[in-house]
Amino acid sequence: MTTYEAVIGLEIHIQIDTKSKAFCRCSTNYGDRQNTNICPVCTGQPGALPVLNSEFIKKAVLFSSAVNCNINLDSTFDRKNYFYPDMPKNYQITQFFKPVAEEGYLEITGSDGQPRKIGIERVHMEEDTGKSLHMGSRTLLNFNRAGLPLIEVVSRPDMKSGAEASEYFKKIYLIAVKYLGICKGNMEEGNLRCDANVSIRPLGSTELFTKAEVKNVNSFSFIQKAIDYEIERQITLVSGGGEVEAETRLWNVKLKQTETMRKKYGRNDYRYFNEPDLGPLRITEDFVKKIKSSLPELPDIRLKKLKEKYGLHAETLELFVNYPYVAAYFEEAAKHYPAGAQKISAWITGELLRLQDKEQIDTAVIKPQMLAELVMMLENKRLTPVQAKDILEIMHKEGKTASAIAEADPRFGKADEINIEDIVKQTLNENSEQLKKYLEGKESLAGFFVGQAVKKSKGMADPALVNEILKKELTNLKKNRE
Amino acid sequence: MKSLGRELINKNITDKNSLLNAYLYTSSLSDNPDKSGSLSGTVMGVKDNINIAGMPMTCGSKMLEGYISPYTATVAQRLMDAGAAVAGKLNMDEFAMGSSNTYSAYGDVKNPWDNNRVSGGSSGGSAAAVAAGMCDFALGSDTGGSVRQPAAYCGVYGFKPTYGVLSRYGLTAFASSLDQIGVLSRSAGDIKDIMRVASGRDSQDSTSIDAPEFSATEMTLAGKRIGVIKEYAGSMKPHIRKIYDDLILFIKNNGGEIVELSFPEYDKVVSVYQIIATAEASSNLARFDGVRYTPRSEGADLMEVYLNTRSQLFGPEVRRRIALGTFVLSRKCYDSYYLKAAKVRTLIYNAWHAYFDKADFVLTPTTADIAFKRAEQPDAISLYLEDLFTIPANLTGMPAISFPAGVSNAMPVGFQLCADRLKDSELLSMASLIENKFYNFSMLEKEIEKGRRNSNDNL
Repeated sequence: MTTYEAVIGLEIHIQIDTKSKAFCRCSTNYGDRQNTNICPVCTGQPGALPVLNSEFIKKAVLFSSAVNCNINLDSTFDRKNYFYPDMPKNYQITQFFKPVAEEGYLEITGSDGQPRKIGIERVHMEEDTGKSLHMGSRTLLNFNRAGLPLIEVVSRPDMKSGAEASEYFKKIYLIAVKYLGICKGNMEEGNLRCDANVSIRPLGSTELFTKAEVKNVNSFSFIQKAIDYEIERQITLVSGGGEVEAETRLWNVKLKQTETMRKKYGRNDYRYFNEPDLGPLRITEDFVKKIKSSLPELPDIRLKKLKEKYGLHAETLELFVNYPYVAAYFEEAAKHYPAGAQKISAWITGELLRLQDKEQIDTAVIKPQMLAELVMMLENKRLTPVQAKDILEIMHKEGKTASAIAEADPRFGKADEINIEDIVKQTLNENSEQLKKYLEGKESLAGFFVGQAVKKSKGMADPALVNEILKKELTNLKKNRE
Repeated sequence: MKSLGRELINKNITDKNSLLNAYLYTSSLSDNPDKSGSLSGTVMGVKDNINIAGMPMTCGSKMLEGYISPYTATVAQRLMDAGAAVAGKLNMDEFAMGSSNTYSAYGDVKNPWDNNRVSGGSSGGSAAAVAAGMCDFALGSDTGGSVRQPAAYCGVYGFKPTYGVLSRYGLTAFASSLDQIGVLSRSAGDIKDIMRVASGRDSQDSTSIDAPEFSATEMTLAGKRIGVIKEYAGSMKPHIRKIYDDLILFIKNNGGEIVELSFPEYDKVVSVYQIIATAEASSNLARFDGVRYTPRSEGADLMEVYLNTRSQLFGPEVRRRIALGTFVLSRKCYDSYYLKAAKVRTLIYNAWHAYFDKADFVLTPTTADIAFKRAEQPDAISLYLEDLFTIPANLTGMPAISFPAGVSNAMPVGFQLCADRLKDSELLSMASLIENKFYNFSMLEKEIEKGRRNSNDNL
């Protein structure tokens, strides 16, 4: 019985967040009334000509650099000719012959747990089409989206499973949306679109066999499910003597299967030729250098740094890497109290994020240095954990610093001024019955005494400290009995 | 620049347009607000593939019947801002494909000097309107000679600038790497005034460039080298040849030197042009499909709508060229046709570029003969060969002008002067010299009139 392996490549279209479209000055604002963000250029009126948006190239080069591509200083714009009602010119301006970037890679963790580089064949610029809305026998066309800038990221067929594909897609998303901010990242609005090319081959073979395209799978979980389904489908087919057909398939969410959308007879002939209205694109070394120098710390480097510098554990690291603003918050706070970095990270994940939406953390009322101060006060035993929690809530509501709150409110009097020894002794005296039972062997009553002591201190005593002192006291009492 | 005056122009339009069919649409000239500017008081006709906001634009085709331009072409806007009024939109071969203006869906344009003969094309309406005094000047478009050839047939000046000097924004594209808006007028001297206003980089046209300066300095022939292409010598009919020889003599008598040049690739010119132009046209005309803003011929499904609309609303010449262009771009043919033609285009450019080391200008015929009779129109392929002399300037992007040089058989004869890229001003200066000292429109008018009177006397 032949064992098969899967060969998967992804083509991801990323809508670049610019104020105006790729080749005209129309607004890119989503959700505006249909056919209001249009002009002669993006509706393909006779005589209209494209003019390249400079923000578009900058963001394309920025992303390409972030995925380790070689940037082509000379690249071409080309026409991809085909007819469809949502295509204003019945050709798309794209980059076919020479894209702006090639030969990059992205690292993922393979199914075997080992890091692996997924090759990126090319990144190129192109324009988006309008949108069709099918309503029974009629199709309505909205050209607000026509001409929006896209970059297409084409991977090499290096992925071997739905899980790997999903991880790769997630990472592209993370970099484009969270780290570089070149894409708004709203999947429902079509800001990122993913097509998968799936084929199988006998394990160990290096040949490439007929692939099927699984289209428009626009969520991380669906991508995994759809690809895994498709792999199984192909293996079953081939094992049973059948052949995989070159076709486009769609993922049926309800039935959880891929279905034929259209068969591909031969390859489409798009009659590519250089776009004469734009001429070749030439960018300079300096231009590229400037853009590269503006790259932020990317996920892999950040992960490594956080791990080595702060010794944070896996779950926290994953959160920080996936939410760079949270990581930035953490690092800023840690600057103010380096010794308490670990504690600060625990307070962020455990407490702060219960009050504060992590997506909005860069505008949090509690500023990083304020959190650092709070944690410092806790570590210095100026506050008990319970007090600190309460203060955090007040900080979130009122925006005051921890020290200001503690100063002003008698509830938060200095914990170290409380004589815990006295309180413990008093508690034991007041609960002589229970004390008797404890000394006779019911050691579980220790917790009861702690609770009573803390109550007696009006919450100001640190339970851990109380427990320590209580233990000492109870041990002494036991000894005295003997 | 002097205007004929609106009254006379309006009268000429009223008297002559129903016969000549030059204008497809006339605007009420009294509507145009008088603007002050260097062209104030002048009246221009605009070829019907150039957008003027609010005016219809048909491109000579049923495919744009009823279309109203939503914006104005940059060149037209600049001229209007300088005071030029728009008399109307001028008839043309459909989508600028033709050399006769017999391929318009709205009827042929007749040659003002002989109504049985064609005006030439594709800017036939532009040339006829200028020759018949129905405007002071006209805008046309020139992809393979469509301004210069009808200018020669109609006895007027037709100028195609260096590629990029006149913005293409607002000109319905035929072949993007070859198209330029061109100017037709009764005087070469006027063209400089027009170019000064209209030329120069346009932020909305990425292929536009900074214009050369259109200086007023006068030209002399003394010491100028005029190149002539030896392969063209045999292509002139005897009656044309006679006028050509007169011109050569004039040049020599005024101190100019004739330099012989060789153009071995001349027999590739039409093929290279047809491949590149039809390829780009097949893509540029794809947008006309019955879906968005053109009329629609209904069908049972999308494919039928496309097929019905495009086969019914495009004329046969347009369909012929789209089919050819689609073919040469197809994957199997791309390398052997389109790519090869692009390479030969570079060779042609190199040859012409080298000429201007040895010569300041190159003189050629504009057409092989005078305007043909409509009844004797050559077949489509032979008609393509008509463009032999004008095509090189489009392939190279160099400026060229056709100027009236004489009369033969009571019809205008035009020759072409070419210059190196960005030598537009010098070219126009030399054309002015020829106008002032050798032959001009006024002389042509008189000569044809005299010829008519003589033949009438003989009856």
